[in-house]
Amino acid sequence: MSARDERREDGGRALEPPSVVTSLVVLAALLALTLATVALAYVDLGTVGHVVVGLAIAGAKAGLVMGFFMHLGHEGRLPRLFAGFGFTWLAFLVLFVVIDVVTR
Amino acid sequence: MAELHADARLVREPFTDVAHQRAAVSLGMWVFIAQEVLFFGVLFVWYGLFRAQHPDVVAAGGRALDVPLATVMTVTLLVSSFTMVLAVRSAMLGARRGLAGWLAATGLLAVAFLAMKAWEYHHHIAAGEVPVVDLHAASSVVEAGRAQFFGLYFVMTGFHALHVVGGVLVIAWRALAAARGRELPRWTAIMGLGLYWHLVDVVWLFVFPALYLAGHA
Amino acid sequence: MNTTARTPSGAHRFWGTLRAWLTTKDHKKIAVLYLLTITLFFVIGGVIATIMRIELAGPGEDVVSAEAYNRLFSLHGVIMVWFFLIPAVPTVLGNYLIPLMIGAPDLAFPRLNLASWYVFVAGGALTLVAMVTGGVDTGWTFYTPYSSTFSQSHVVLTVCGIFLAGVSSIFTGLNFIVTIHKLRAPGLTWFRLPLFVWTHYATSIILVLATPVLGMTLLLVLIEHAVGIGIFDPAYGGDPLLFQHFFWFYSHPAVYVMILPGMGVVSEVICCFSRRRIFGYRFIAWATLAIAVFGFLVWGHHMFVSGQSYLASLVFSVLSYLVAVPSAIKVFNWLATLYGGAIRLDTPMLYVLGFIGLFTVGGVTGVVLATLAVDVHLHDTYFVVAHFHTIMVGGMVMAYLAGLHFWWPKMTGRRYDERLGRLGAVLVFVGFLLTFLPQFILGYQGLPRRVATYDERFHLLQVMSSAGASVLALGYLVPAVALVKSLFGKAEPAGRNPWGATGLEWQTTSPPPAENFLAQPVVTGDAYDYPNAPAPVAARGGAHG
Repeated sequence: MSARDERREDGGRALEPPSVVTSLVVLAALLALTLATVALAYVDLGTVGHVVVGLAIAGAKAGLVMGFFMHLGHEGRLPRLFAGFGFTWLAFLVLFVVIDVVTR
Repeated sequence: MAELHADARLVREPFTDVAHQRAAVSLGMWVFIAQEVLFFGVLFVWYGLFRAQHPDVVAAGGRALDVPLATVMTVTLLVSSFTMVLAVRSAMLGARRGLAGWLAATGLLAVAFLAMKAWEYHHHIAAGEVPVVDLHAASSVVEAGRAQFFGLYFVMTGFHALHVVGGVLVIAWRALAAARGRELPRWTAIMGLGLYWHLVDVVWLFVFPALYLAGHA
Repeated sequence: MNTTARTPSGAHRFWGTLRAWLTTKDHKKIAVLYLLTITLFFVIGGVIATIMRIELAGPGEDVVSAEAYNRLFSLHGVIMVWFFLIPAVPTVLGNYLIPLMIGAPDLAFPRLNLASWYVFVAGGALTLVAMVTGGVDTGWTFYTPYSSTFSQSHVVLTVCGIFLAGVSSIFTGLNFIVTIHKLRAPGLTWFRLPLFVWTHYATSIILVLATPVLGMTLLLVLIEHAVGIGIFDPAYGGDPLLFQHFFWFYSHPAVYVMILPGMGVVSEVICCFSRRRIFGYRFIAWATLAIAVFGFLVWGHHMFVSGQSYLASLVFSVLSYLVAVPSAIKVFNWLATLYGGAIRLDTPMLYVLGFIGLFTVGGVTGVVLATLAVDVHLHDTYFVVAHFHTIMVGGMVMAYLAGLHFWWPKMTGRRYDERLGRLGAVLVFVGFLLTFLPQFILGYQGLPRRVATYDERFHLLQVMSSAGASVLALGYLVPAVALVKSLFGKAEPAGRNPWGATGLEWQTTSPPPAENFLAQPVVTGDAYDYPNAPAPVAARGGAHG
């Protein structure tokens, strides 16, 4: 196996304290997205449109929180892998329940 | 760039150094987060199925909720996530007072969130918007549907609120330890607490549009 | 600390020792705590099974009422599934051996490990309280709306107990995942790991990703039961099939939680007692992960007659066949490992040979049940009971006993009586066959499970099954006697490596010191270098071939 040290593996900057400026910018983006999702809730997009927009904005916000506040962007492969496992396995659950319910 | 607090006394058995401990704690927390995603995921599958089958019931229920209040609650949690980042930063820099202060700020914002939640619960219960379906007493389909929506509402926000309560307790304990103690707490532990707190935030980011923003257009 | 400095009285010493054990963070001692706890639950579950087999020896309500019988099979299932089958191999053998096998001083989070035991004990205590105050009558599956709306038994208490057992599982799984990633000895790459470690890694993934779904689902049952919110009960606007989806999303992968660690034990033992490298190491390693992942995609084969859509049933049926492929890969590789080996029939190997045969029978009957049309006939009959007991008792319990015998000298520093050990293995195997082969036939003839009474024509086979169960019960007593006996009197010391096995755990003393290794071991080769392994040391009790 290569010289990569699995014991201490990270994305390179995980041992640096988080930057105040970056965190402020992320917070501002999160607050802006919150206002956007509330505002769009009052625009007529149809039920499907609302679900898509609501999920997309919530997903973007969750991505910001995980990528920066939860420093997933600075992590190595393993934390990203397990973060992915959580959502992938949830997708398994959703997929098969949907297959059943839609064709029942 | 300020120096990372990398005192050897911060390292606990069986780890060899701070980088090693940090990587292990981070991985452990992400494994924990993965299981939390599935734990809450069950609720969202229930919600999704219910909304697909009864879109009108969810829309009507959403209109009964207080959007401005929920928006303030969302902002409160987002800001508390930011203060938590500063708490972790303080811990990494070895700034004890900064750590105590930012943890206290995070805890206070969390308590504010819970206070708003409690007010909201009280308001709905007083208005008779409760989840329990009494089939014999239900005068109409609409009333039964409303009870079902509030079942979703109370269960989803309730499990989230329980996670907030758990977070507040640990945050308060760590804040007190940092304010009192001579020795700094291990910053890897504060990092783990931070990951948990942000996760609670992420869950709310999905609960908020799912319940409060349904059916306003 | 102070108590040992003065000359302590006997009682003082007792309390000091007890306190040291109850606050230990040493994975080896926690494993022993788990061993004692799990053995207790196995005995309780076994006693309940005994009462059931006595009742079933006659066709009427002979010993217990139908109502009591409902509670007996429910408790037997709950205790055996959550308090024995799922935790047994990981929390006892895995806990003890994983740090030793990877050359680490402990698990990554020792305090979390101890916490997992306390949570487990709390969950077990709640379940036992529910049991002695009247029990639960829903079956271990807690199907709604019976469990959430109609059952008058202790659903809430039992559900809380199982929830805690689940939390304990998640703690253990999380700890194993981080340990295996972060604490391996220098030079110990993934493909040099013993397969026991691979199987525990796969098991941990399942524990972490499946158990939360069970936890939330049981809480929802509890909420529906206690408050009356409509979630699963159609009378309140809920969907009962949704419960079954959630429940089996956990409970089918949980079957692999029970069997995968056992497969790890089999891989270790079979190499040691045929003195050969494992055949197809990488195939077994990847097959292990494949089982863990595919195992999540087949849960609907428990729901063929539930009202699930035909398309979903079809998809689940096809995917279920696929799981058979990695399982078969493992069996073929074990057989190929035996081929041309210098096979020695010590106790662990006897159990493992029994495992391979019975696991194959259990697996093949599983394929039969995964066939849509056939399942309509066999669903909820004794055929299903016989199928999963073949995997669970014939597979998992035998692998657990194999592992316990194999690593007993390492854990205690003493050797057990080899003749008694072999007698136990043979009795368990014979007793098993006599108990469960008749149940395959009973099920094929249409006898429904979970009913206290039956038609006269099933009497002979039921009596055979009950007779087999008594042999099986005797079979379980023999290893208990053999192992416990080794702890007292002048038992033979084991030495570091009595079986002449490879693996880091055999390089340290028996039992290992608190820090496991006095110097950090370094690994330079593969896990199964049997051509260059030391020769086994014959036990005084039995002659070796």
